[in-house]
Amino acid sequence: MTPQLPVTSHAGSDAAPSPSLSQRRVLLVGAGGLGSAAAPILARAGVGHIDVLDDDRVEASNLQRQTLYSEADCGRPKAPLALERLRAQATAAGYQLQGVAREMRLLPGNAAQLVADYDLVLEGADNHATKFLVADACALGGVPAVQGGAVRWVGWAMASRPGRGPCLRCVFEDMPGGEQPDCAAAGVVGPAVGVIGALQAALALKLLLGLHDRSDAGALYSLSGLHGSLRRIRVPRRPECALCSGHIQHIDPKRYAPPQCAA
Amino acid sequence: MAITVRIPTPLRTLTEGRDEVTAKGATIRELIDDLESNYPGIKDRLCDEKGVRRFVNIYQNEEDIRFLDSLDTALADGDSVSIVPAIAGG
Repeated sequence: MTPQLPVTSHAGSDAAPSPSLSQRRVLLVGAGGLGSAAAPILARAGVGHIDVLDDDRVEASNLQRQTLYSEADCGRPKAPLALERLRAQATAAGYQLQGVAREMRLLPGNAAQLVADYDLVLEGADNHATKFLVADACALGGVPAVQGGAVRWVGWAMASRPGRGPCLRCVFEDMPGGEQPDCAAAGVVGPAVGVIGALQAALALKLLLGLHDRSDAGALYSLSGLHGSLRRIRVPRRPECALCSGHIQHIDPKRYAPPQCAA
Repeated sequence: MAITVRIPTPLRTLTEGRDEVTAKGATIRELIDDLESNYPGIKDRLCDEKGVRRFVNIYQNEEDIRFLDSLDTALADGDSVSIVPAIAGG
């Protein structure tokens, strides 16, 4: 069957869920700015199952970019709120969304188990350790991943399919050291997470629908918001990549040493 | 040979806050040396003894120099070079 893109705009009319999307299971790692931009698009498109993993609580300083939340949510945990909002949005678009809220952090000890059994992991975490952990756990577990990052006006996004095309470690070999300014000091503007999150959603939908092509698999999208540029940079697989070459065979906690809040 | 270099936020403390500077060089290596002469300390942020630091990507126009000739990648007048560090906000 040719995958159908959900193009209906209102529930009740002819909003038949795409058979393929309604059966897809997605894990959202991080329900912050990127998750707020990306996940509603998946929910409204008819993705049938989204589990939300985040151990954080809503803060007032999040609200300028984390559009899943409002002022009344401050102090409350993000994961269940995000899931509740995503369910409502799916319902508004005529779909039913299943999912579980996990108020926890992806850690070396639980990552392999947590990412298993999904069709896709959409990662919008706020730290390098989690990003590399998602890349490694997904590659080892055979789960496609769509990853992204944004700070101030710049950001990046990429899709990885295990065993095919480059992974995060092909692009950025490992976590930066401690000389980077921290996220809280650097800040993120709404448009940067909005653009990157929407791009992540597009990459995710294409993977879920089998519409991805070779250009997505070998591409790093790089946004420079202040220069008004969004570039697709060709990123071949790197022969010496520790993950793709098989050097990384299991999740070793030492690789993800204390999360560096880097920019 | 004038090359436009885009400077990422973390390195702007070295470029007097400028997000774009002009530098000279026939190769990326020469370009980085020229940057270092004007903005001391920048080379150490971009390179270690093995070459470009692992969490920093340098692009000549749209291409990652690791897949060209790395530090020996030749530059042409009017090229733009972007420095893109791994960033983790979300």
